[in-house]
Amino acid sequence: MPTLPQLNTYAVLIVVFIVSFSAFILVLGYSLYYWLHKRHQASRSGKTMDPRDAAMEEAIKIVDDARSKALGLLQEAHLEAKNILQDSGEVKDATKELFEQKMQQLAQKQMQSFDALAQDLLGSYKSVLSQEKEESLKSFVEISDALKQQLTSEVRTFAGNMKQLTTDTEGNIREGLKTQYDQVATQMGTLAESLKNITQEAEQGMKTNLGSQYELVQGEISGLADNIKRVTQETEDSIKSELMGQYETLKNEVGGLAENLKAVTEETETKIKEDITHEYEEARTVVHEFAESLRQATIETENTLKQDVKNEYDQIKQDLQSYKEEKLKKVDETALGMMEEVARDVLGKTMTAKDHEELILRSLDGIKRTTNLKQL
Amino acid sequence: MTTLDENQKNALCSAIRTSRYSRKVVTLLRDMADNLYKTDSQGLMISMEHSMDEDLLNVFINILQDVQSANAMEAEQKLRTIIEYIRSLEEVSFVIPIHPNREFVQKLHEWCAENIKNEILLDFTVNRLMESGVLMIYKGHYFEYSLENLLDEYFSTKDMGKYFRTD
Repeated sequence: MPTLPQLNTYAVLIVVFIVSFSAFILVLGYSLYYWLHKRHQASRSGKTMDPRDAAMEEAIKIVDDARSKALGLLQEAHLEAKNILQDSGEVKDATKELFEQKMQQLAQKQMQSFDALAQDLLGSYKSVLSQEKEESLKSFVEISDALKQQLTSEVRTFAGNMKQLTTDTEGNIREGLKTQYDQVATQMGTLAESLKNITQEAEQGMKTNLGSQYELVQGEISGLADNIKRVTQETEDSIKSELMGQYETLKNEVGGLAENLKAVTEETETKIKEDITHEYEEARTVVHEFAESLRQATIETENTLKQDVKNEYDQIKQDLQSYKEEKLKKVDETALGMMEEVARDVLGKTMTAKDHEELILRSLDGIKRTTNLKQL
Repeated sequence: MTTLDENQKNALCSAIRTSRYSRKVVTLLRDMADNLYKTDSQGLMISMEHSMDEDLLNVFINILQDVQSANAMEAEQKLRTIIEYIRSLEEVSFVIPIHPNREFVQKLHEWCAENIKNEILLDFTVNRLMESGVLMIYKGHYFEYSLENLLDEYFSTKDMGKYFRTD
């Protein structure tokens, strides 16, 4: 039969085991939550690229492409205008050089304006993306905080309940054990007292009356002690069996609690996953739509730029043609004036009246060849 | 009503040739016709001899030989017929840089008779600023063969740019 200190030790060990097991379950739940959370974050940041960054890269690519096309158009227009000038051959080198400078200035101006436009576009796009990213992150952090708080609150409530239950169970066990211990102690005390009395009386009687039968009595006393030892052993086994039953019950209850905790944790994880997936899909849709609209805007900008370059080129071509005609007209006038002056200086001094008469008659023959004067 | 035959007309036109001279002749003939009552046909011829050149005088002699013996009324009528004919003649104008001499006027008139019509008068305007060539105006049509116009046409049909290339 176990002694009282041994029973106390068992009870304390059981209580310590229950508390440790509860703490272990709590730590396991927290660890599971943080592990899932970190794994999700790692999968988002590591495996898949942020769609906003992808959209930004795509926007930069589109703008670069548009820039290359615009540059190509400008160079083509420049080359064509240059070829026209080279082919015409009626314009002086200085004019060609002037045109070359004008075209370079125009191309530079166009590219500067395009770069500024592209930078503005990229800047605004980047700004919008950053803003949207910040808002998404803020929203995600808020959702995560809310979920964390909710989960923490649930776990805390669960831990409180668990603690309360454990405390109650411990109190009940302690009280039961104390009651049983008191009963056993009382019985044992009574038994020991009566045994002591009997022993003293028997010893006294044996010593006084039985003398020779003392050995026999001693043997009976020894058998009685064996009986007492057996009864004690049986009592101890019974207590042990009862305690084991209570332990099994408690173990089953704790197992159920662990199952509940696991189910709650899985449900919370599923909910977090669904919320995050939903949020991610929404953010992806928004970013995709924004990227599409940006792409359309970029294409429109490219078309507008192309049209502007074409208009500018046509205008330059027209200006060049006007300039050419004006220059040629001026050249004609200058040449004519010069030739007339030369003719006046030279012919006026060298042509005789006879020459004039001959020239007039030849001129009239020219009129005769070209016009039928009799038909007028 | 007296008339002029084609030969007479041609002879008259060939003798007069220019508008300027025709105006002078018309004025002379009008004076003669107005004063015919004071003179006779013989007086008329004497007056013509003093105021006309030989060619024209010969033409008038030829035309008026039929009326020498007639009365003054018939002579006046003949003169007025001639005046009307001269005034009805068409003109072709020439702007030229030199003053035309008689021989050149003759050549030009022959050219016009051959290429425009037989009975026509020439009207000359001398433009010293005109360097060379001729401007002819006939029935509202301008035919300019001046040196300026020739140069202008020449430069307009030629590639003037090649004269100003620097390469």
